Amino acid sequence: MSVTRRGAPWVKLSEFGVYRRRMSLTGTVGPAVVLVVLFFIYVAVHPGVLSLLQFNTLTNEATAVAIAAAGETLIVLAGGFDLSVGSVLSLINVLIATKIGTSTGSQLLMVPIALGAGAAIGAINGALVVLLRIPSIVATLAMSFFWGGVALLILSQPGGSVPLDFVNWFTGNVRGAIPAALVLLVVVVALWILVKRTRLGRAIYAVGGDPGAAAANGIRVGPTSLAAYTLGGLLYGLAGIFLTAQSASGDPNVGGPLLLSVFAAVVIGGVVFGGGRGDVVGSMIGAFILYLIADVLFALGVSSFYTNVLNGSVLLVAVLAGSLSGARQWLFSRLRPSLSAADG
Amino acid sequence: MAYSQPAVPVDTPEPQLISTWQMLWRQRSTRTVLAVYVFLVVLIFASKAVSSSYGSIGFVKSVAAIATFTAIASFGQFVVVLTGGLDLSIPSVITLAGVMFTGFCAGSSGNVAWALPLICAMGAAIGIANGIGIVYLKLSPVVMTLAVNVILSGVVLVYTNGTPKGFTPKVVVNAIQGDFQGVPYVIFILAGFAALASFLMSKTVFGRFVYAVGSNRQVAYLSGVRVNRVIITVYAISGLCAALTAIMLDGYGNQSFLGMGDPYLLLTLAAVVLGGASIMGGRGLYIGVIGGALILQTISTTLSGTSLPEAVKQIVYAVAIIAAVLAARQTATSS
Repeated sequence: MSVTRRGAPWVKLSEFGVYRRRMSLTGTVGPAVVLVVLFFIYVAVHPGVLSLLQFNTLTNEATAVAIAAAGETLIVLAGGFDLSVGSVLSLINVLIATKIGTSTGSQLLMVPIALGAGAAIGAINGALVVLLRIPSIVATLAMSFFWGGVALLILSQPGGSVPLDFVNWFTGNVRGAIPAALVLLVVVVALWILVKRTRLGRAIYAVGGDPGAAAANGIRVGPTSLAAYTLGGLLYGLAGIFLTAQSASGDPNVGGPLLLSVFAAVVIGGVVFGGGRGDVVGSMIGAFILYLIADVLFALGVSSFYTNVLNGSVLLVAVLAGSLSGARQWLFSRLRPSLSAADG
Repeated sequence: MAYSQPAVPVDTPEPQLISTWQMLWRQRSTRTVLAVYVFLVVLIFASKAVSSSYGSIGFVKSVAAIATFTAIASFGQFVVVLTGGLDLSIPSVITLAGVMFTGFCAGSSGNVAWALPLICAMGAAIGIANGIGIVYLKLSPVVMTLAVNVILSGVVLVYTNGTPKGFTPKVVVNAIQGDFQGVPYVIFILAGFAALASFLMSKTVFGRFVYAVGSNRQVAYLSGVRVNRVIITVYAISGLCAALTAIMLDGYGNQSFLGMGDPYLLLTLAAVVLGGASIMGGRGLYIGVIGGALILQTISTTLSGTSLPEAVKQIVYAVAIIAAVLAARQTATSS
């Protein structure tokens, strides 16, 4: 290599084609195509969805999970795992529902408070994994009960109320034409695309892909993971805000069932557990796919009792499909050995 | 070339004769278990601070009786954790087995003869399904068992249509709630189960295989252990233990209810970790896990005597898990 090592380490990293390929949005094309096809099927089954009112409902139902899945994806991309997402959503929900006032100022104030609380929770989870080196599955499972307990302490029974203004900001329509949720999602995607190009974004992929190689390239693995947990928590905070606006009340158990949906969304979105491969946008699309599948089936007359069976099955099928494509890639790499494989 | 004995004998250390107790003491796992029980005794005495009626023999008996359910369900989680896995499907297996048992029996003791083995077989079958998904479909244990947990919770809703039917037959109720000379039957059940489970884990080939797979899967495989079969079996054991726990819970509460298994994910994980088993697999003793279950129940009963809300229990358990994982690593690095 005649390239002189100048500048920040990530400049060097960006030369690796493999990282550039992993970081491109190409992995989200598959989920996006599936989403569009599903949407057309849904329109065929249930044409009413094309009205603004029903389209708004459709967008709203998946948005909280989509944003939470975006947060989970950040953590998974960095090689972690977070089983506490459900409880954190519950905690943010009861926090807002019990503390919000009726004045516009106090309602506005809840947004930074919820985002800050989410980020702080994420940082604590991350510290357990990164600083105390507890396996992420065990740490976040324990913390899921911890945060769930805190949520129950704040509000033991479903209750609390959220002013209509707060509800409308997030679940209404902008200028009576576009669902606010859609705008929120676009903002999240835009911010992610910006973050992805930064040093931190690249570091998250590198750490998740191969921590050893990342460290050898001058990336500080610990702080990067910690940042991923913190940013993930920030997104949980945003998801919690939306969830609260959507349900317009507090419920200490609201988030529990969403854990599986978040995981399913991440897997459908093509994100690989273990880290380094996938994209936040894919997971967000995955959340919409998950809800659209359910909507299509319910429109066809399947009982909503089957929601859980359906979500669990979708997760398994998605993981299986993912591992099949992994097997195919492995096979192709054997059939056409690359230079490095021939060396090895 | 002739091989000749060296004139000067090689300086080999004199074999030391030590007693069985010394040998046991030298094993880290024994000392861990001892620490678990010392902690338990301290906790039991500390519970006197909450109420004067606590810390007595009667208190210990009632704690042990209720801890039995956690202890038996935890054996399943324990063997799974020993292989380096995790079973998140225990809550829904318990609930499903619980509602199906009362549903099948419909209060008739005659039905127990076929319903009990059937429910146990169903639990084991769910475990086998978990194991197959993990071994052959190469799914992560967390993803597989999480998905199965949610699917089964859906099956519970479909089966019960929202309200569980039937109630527990008298035979089972008497077996769980009865007592012999003031000692609840369940404590005998726990003692018998503990003896059987400990024998399985330390005296049989299967037990050795489980520890071998957990210590180093690659080495175990190269040593001729059928790793896949062992992993499927541990999940089957976990499902079976969950089904047994469910039937016992049915007997304890006279009926089944939705969400009856929900506390058992946190409880089994906490009991395993507090019992000194390594979360990375390969290390731990079931007798320690029983100690862990007893510790949890002591905390739970003691906290119930205070005015603190239920949620505090959950927080205490969560902190205990983190603390136990950290403590286990401290001892691992120091020895």
